[in-house]
Amino acid sequence: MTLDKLKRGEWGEVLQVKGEGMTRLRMLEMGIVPGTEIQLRKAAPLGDPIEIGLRGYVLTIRRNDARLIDIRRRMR
Amino acid sequence: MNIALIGNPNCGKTTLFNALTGLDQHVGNFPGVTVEKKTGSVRGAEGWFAVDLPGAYSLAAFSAEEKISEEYMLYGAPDVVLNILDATALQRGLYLTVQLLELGLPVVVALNMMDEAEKMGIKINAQLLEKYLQVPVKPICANSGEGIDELVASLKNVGKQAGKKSFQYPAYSGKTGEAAREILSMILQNKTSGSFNRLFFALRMLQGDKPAVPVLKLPPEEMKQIERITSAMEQALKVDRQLAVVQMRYAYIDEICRKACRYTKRESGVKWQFDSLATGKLLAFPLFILIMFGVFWFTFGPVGGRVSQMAEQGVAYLSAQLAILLQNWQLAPWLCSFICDGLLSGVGSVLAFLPTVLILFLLLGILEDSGYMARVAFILDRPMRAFGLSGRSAVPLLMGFGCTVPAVLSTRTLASERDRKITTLLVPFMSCSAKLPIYAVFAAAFFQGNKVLVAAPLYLGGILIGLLYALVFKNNSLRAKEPPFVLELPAYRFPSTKNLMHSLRRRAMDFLKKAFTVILLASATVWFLQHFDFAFTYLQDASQSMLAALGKKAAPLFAPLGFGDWRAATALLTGLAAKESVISTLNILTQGAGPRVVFTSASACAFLTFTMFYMPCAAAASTIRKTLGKSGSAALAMLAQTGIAWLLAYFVYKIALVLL
Repeated sequence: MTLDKLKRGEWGEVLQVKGEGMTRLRMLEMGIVPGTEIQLRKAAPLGDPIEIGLRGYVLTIRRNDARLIDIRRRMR
Repeated sequence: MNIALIGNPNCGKTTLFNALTGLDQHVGNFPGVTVEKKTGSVRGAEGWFAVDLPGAYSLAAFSAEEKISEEYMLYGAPDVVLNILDATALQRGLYLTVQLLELGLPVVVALNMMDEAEKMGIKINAQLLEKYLQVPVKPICANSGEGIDELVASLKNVGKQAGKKSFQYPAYSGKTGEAAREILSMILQNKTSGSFNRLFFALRMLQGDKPAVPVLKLPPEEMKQIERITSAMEQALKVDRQLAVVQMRYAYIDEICRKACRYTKRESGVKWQFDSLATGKLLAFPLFILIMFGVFWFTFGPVGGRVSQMAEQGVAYLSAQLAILLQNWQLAPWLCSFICDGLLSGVGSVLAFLPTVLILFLLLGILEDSGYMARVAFILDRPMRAFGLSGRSAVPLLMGFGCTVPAVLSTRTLASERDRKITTLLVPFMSCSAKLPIYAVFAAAFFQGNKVLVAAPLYLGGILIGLLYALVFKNNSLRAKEPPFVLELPAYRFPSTKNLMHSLRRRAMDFLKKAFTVILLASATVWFLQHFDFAFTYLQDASQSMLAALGKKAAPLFAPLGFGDWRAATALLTGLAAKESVISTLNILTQGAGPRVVFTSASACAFLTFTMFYMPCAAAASTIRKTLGKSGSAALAMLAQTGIAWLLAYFVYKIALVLL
């Protein structure tokens, strides 16, 4: 499954980051690398973008980009 | 000695810069796209200068702003690098740190916001961090100034040893680390690689970064060798080169953090009570509108109104006193007129608005420092995309209500060129604070002093026309591949009074400087042109003057808008130096009688519309030109804006004629 499919409050472990070039590099460099645990914290009032938590900080990304991140759901 | 301050956005860098340089330091803004950085001399350290660089997450720059930091680190040869880390987001901050170490730069780490991290259940051992990073690590609190003295001592120490002391690269292990060292030894053997003989560049080659190839002119056989090393690494690790490098850095960072930090909670980020309100489904938009309404109510309503009234009276009193003093000195009548009708009434009419402008800047500053602006970008991203913009554009646009110049500069935080350009084009449609005096004076003259009645349609009209303007660019050639919208949501923080006061002080100084330079000069010029004819004889009747002759040339252009008076045209012309000049000029030309002499109610509406939309002042125009690149497109933008202003003013005039 992909990151955008998580429900509010759920956690997932990153398996793979797709995409290419600078876009992918930036997502990786922000700490979204395979093995990282990510929580979907909430969505913006209009459903997009989403707010995610990882490594103790909070980022927002668009659903389009979240679809590039393959994850496995994790129970915590 | 130059100390370069670098760190992630929002890590407290500017606060630390202020703490290092002190309130009374001269802070210069050096213009120019490549050197947009602040410099100030360090308190208690003679000959030491701090350079405040824009926030960056990585040296692989993503936005124009990050590019400035990247280039300074790579080619600027700083004597010491002061790397500020936000203790609440240590791992992400360290990602930049390890890159600085790969460059072999003399780094001192300042560990900021330890108290906040502890509240989040993160305990960081600075000594251990120092041991593993092999550079000094100093815990500080930039807000309270705690630990600054130790930090400065450490900076001095490192600065003195710079160049003498050998540096140590991060000890990357695994296949990626081995491959990188193999490439590095190739670079070191090559004589042409010059100052690029650093691990950082070896990793860039390994990562397959295109910009690294032209700077490192390696012969084809060596390039082939690098490709062989890289493919071998990819096969051994079963990951691509881009991921391999990032993963190696994070593995190294995670290892350090495991040893130096203790996590007592397993939460991701703090919970913010206010956030469920500010970004919640139901209340996010109403709250945003309420807050913006509050900002303008405060600025124009009873509070701001009272303050500006007091300031006006103060200025009027002072100039009256000065006029009496001058009469007692029995100066020549022309000199008396020059000082009173020219300089005093020109500068004074503008000075009275300083408090109002400061209130607006204070409120916008609070919104920014508290972390609310980032939420605005978050909730507005979706609606803004309907206009081809991104949520990040919201911040420069809101700042545009303050001043176009910093607003346009702040578009550099936007990742895509396209967003940057379109946002820059839209900023002038957000009515800047310099236009406040114009609205206020006209409200007093024509609308019983009801500023809201005057300002609200102009502000809202500006936003509306701006959004329509954005739609024009939505599907045109400026459109490119959409960059990812990666935005950090910082913790909510109580804005520090020190920081707010610091920036207000700078705003006030900028304003005063403008009043006593540009506006003083404009006032003097207007007075001179108004009181002399082309034969340079002193006149009593301004209608024979040079100014009248010039204004009369331009006036017919505005006749269809209802204000074909030469004084209106002249006021608009001087408004190009600074928008406040529109009012100072009108004041001089009407001998203090105000706009009622020149305008009818209907033509006043048209004039206000025109001033709202026509091209911004010279300072803003030159900033816009820098952002848009080619001067041609900026000139076109100015022309388009003025054209829009003329058309809108024409319609407003026709409608007002019917209604009023």
